[in-house]
Amino acid sequence: MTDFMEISPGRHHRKRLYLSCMLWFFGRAVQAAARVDDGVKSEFAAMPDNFTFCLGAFPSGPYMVVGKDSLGRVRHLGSSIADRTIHLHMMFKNPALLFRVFSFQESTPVANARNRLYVHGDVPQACAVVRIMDMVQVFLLPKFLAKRAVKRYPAWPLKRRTLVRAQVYVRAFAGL
Amino acid sequence: MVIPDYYEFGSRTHIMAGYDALEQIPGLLSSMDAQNPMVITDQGVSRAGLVDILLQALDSRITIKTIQDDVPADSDLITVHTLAGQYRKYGCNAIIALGGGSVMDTAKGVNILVSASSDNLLAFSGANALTHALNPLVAVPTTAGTGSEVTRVAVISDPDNLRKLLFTSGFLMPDAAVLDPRMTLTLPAPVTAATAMDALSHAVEACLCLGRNPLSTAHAHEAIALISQHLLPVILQPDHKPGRLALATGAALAGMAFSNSMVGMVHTLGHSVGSVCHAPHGTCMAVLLPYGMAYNLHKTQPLLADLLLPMAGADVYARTPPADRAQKAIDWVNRMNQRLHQVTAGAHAVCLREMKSQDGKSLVPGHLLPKIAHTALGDGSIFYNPEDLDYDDCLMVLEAAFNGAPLDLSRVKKG
Amino acid sequence: MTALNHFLCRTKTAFGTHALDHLPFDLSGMNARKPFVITDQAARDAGVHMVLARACRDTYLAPGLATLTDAGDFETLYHLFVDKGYDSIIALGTGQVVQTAKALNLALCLGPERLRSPADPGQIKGPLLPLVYIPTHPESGQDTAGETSFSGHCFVSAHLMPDIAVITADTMLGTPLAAVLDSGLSSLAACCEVFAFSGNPFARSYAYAGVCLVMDTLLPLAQQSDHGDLLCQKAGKHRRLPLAKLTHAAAVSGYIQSNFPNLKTRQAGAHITALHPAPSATLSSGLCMALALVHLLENSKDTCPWLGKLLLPLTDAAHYAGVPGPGQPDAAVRVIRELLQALYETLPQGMPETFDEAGLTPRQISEISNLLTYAHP
Repeated sequence: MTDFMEISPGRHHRKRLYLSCMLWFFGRAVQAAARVDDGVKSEFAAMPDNFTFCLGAFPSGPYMVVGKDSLGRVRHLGSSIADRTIHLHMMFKNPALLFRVFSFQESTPVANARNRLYVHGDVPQACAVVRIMDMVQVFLLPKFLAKRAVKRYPAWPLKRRTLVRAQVYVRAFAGL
Repeated sequence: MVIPDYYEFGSRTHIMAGYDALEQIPGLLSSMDAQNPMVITDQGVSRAGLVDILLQALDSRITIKTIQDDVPADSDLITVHTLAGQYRKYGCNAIIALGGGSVMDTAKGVNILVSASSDNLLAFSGANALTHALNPLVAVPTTAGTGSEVTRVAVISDPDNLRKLLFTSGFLMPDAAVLDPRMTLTLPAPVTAATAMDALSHAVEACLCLGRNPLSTAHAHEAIALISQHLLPVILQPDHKPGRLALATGAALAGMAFSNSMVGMVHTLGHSVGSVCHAPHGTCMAVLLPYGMAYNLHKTQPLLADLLLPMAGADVYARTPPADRAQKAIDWVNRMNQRLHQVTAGAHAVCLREMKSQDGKSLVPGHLLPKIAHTALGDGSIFYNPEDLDYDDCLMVLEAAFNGAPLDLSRVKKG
Repeated sequence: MTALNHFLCRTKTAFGTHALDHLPFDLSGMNARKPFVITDQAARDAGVHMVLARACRDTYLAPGLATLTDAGDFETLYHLFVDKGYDSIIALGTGQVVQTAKALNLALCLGPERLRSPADPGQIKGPLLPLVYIPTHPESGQDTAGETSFSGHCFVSAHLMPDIAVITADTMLGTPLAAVLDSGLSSLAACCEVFAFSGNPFARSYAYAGVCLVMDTLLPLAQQSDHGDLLCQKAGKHRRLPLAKLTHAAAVSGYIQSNFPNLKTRQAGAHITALHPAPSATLSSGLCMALALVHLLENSKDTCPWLGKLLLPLTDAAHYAGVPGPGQPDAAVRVIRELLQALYETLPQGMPETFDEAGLTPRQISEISNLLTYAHP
């Protein structure tokens, strides 16, 4: 006689909450950096207006949605992709894999090399988004963590490392 | 053996490589219950008489429903839609793709439309948009370089929106790849050299870049050994069938390797030179390969050292001190380029400045290097390169490759 | 290079850390949304299915889990699958689990009647349902090969190869050392034979990786064993990872055996196992294949053009290049002999190193020897 059961995998609520918080703060930091940092500004400048991208996990999030509006302003648009046109999806293949990156167990370049994420959309724009994410990670993380998160830790001038970084932090917390 | 924490390797294409491989096509199609194929090819292949050789080999054992030979040099949406219409009109149930990379990509695009009974190729672009097996597709490469006959990727231009659409799915791998030396016997020496160096660059980058894994490395080493041993002899004796078969096999192995581990900055820069200057892809790869190896030297020294064995053989490997093997592998590629330059009477360029069109005009003008460097930043392969690259890094490498000067390793930023 | 080389491996290998986390995405790429998991009692008792369940968290997947308990399960499995509307199969286990999964796939696609009285068991055209293979310990390579048997009929087709083999330390179970040796040696024999005697570069590439994986893991695993058992679940990841690598080698040998169904070492192994009166625990088919391999290599040292290069995956580039060409075939055979000797020393009960020691009569050895010859190109 075959023993049969249906598995209900359920949800990992704590990890999901952690990821939602991290993505929320990261999205606000992207918005902040787009206002105060020339490097991030210039990457966004090359993108078309009304362009929206999301970073998230297959199949149903969590997500971070960031867009550039018709006036060229970069905004964090929250965590919902419903009722939005998303031009670029950068998706990890499983929330657990996104968690590994946002808990600093695996860097984004390594996750990419291990085929843990995929892109749906224009590849040059995806490249620009990855560079933006790298810069924001360098702003947000202490050097020992950022060195693990990016392929090459950049040699930025003092002002960018201190003043601009502080501005990014303040604006990210304040939502400016 | 160093094994990464995680990797994937898959190549579901049935490989058929041999002196009478074309004759196996009816059996292959029959095993897939497909008796009415359409042949997709291009004018160059048709003019070279390769369609006739194919038809002769098939020997009326299957009914070719239609032969379409209008594939342009860059596969585009219009061609794909037109050919899909022809496929339906003639009641075909399989495709034989006879040609190089563009023909393969076009055939993959046509196969998506006819298998899904769709008229909208855009709906299938991106990663994993395909969820069902496609109709039978047999790939017969007529160059030994691109490896498209075994890859899971198709790139198709959307001329209305000035963009290139990328399609990736395991289902895009052709059902069979038929490697027959008769298809490459008449390739001119410079094309043979450029396409083989393209395959070599696939294999080398598959071993060095971040997605490398034991299975892709094993395939890549085998490819490097075959190309290294047979390229120069084939250039000197173009009708040497074993050599031609070895190069075709090497290209397919390299295709299987890079399809699973991806490629890095040689392709990042090479794609950009090709797209900005319309320069031949294979030659760009040949010129840029030693620069890519040198740029990544500090991060890939042991891997580069390992390449010396399949490149130069056991004797040279054993004679070279371990610390010098990586540099010797780079030197070997430089020397190969120079030898190819000599035996093709200068037709095989060794630096970007030397790349010329058929009417003798410079293909890569120096003033376009900044634009090429900028374009390179939008190529997805940049993320698989072991060392990071920004605009200045790309420009530095391009300038060195333009002049044929050695790369100044002290200028390579190490993070 | 020989006149016509062909090679087909339909399986994608996914190996390593968090490999199962990729599965929901990969299944969606095959339009599989409701997988039917077949496992066995040992895997179920060890809770391996929970590893799979964790990978499915926060995804749409809600798999059904059927645990094999006896031989009369097949009808029940078939009806469960059909009645509950599953669309793909996951074989979570090794051996019987995978053979059942393959047979179920055939029954679902060809009809159960065809399976019981096949008109032509060898002819299976067209794709079957998506089949994912998640092994729980190393095996002989049959799991990833394109073959299965049911009701006395043998079915052979590349379509029977799994679509994905997910090999990860997370699902490795405690395994008797004898089973580990059996798997490692049969993988080594199959991969070495193809590498040494085939000019097919596609097969040689897989074989190269297979030999390297066995050489990296088999002896260290044997030396780590406690009282003949590798209780890896208790021992932690340091033993599960080499077990996963050895399982990877077995999967590779399965791909190879699908393309080379008439391997001499496999034939000889089957022949010896049939001849020998001793229980198979002391003379497993893997050991028979390894002994046959040594014999085969010795027979062909002077004639096989690729034998010397076998030294490369058996050792490393520096060692291989350091041995002059004419000495490489001898050196390759010596490495295999030394491996067998070292394994012999780790085993409390010992194991035969030659056909003589295995108890074969001179006449039987002569028969085997005749079997172990190659017509070289």
